Amino acid sequence: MSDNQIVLRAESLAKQFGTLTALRSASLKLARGEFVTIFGRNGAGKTTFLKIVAGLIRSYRGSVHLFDEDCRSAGDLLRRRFGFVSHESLLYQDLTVRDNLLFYGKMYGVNEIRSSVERTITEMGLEAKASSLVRELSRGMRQRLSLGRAFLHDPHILLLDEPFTGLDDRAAAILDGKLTRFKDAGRSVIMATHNAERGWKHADSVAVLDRGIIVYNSAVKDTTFEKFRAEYLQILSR
Amino acid sequence: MRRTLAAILWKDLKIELRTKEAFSASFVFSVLVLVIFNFTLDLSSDEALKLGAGFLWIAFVFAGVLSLNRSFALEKEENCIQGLLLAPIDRGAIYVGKFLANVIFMLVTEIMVLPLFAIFFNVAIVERLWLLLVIFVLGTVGFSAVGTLFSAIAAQTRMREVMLPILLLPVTVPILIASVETTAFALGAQEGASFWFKLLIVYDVIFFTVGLLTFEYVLQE
Repeated sequence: MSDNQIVLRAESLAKQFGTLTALRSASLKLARGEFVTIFGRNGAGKTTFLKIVAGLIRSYRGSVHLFDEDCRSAGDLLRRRFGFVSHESLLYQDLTVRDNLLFYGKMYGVNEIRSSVERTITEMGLEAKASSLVRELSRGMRQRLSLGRAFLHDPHILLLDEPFTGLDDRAAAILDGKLTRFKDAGRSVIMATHNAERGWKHADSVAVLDRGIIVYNSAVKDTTFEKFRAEYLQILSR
Repeated sequence: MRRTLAAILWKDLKIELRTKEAFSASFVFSVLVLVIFNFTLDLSSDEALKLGAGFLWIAFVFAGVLSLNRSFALEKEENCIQGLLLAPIDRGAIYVGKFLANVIFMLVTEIMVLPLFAIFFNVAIVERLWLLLVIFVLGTVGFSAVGTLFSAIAAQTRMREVMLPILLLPVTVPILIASVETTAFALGAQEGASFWFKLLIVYDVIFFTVGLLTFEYVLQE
């Protein structure tokens, strides 16, 4: 991976919440068009890592550079390049599907907002529910809408925190398709998950975060799924 | 920034128009306060004129607390506040958008409650209605400027409903006193209130500025 291909560089990230150490020293590089999956048990620090990268946590040790700019000083505009999917939907329950997307479209300054919103609704298979309140949607539909929200502003880097949790088969297939097209367009993804099969499927590189430290990092081409899974299970059993 | 805060205001108004949660709770609570004061204290016209402004603002304040509690509670549901923080927007715009929504919710309640107050306490309001409305705006702006900031802080605590009044009421004492004094002046219960008008304006400017400048730090995890 040459240095001019690197879009995101996180170095020695450390974060403490009171007496709890969430991250000790986590470093990761992400190249243009690369898909990195971070595995780890619950509480390993995956969500904290993604939140720091996304700019949601601003008080931490270490550094995050996006397109060679320090995220701490680069300001809000860098955030436009991120799409973020967390286990919470980040959707307003008392707004309709369309109104939620319109609102987030305005927040991100999306061009031709109405047509972008309608296209997203169609892509996510939510045409029949476009005027329904989010509160009235099933969990799977909410997740689909949440994915639509993350893709709406055409981000360059996608941060996914356990995105397959709670997805029905249709939503999982939509997400798979979106991720494939996203990667093919030269965009980059960091996905955090504890599901080995799901995480491996799209990955170019895999990393394992354990007790706040990246203890394993390998390109997918340098290993096999079976070999990786054996090592992952060994890390989990420590 | 204007586009962003307009979007936040539009979103809050749309949710409130759909649910009417903040308005219905605030309105019922305000009316209840006035009814209780009216029936438990058998006031003469002079006494009603003197004490009415205080009763009115007690009703507004407690109704306002209910409304402010709702302001960031809806952002905590499904962690929507994270969605706002992820967006490439000036965080001051979030503050101003939420502040404007809170001012509108409180003013609507106040305007609806005012005629009931006039009926319950037999107070003439028509002659100086414009002045009363100006006072309501000034008082509500100051109260919401502090309230929006503290609502964001309280929303991050486990005892949100209790925490907000504990934080808010001591800091808003000057504006409440000024609002009561100017309202009493508008109702004709006292002469001269220029000092209190000035205090209202100064308080509004100071606390709106403080809220705008500190809001970003309040939202940090």
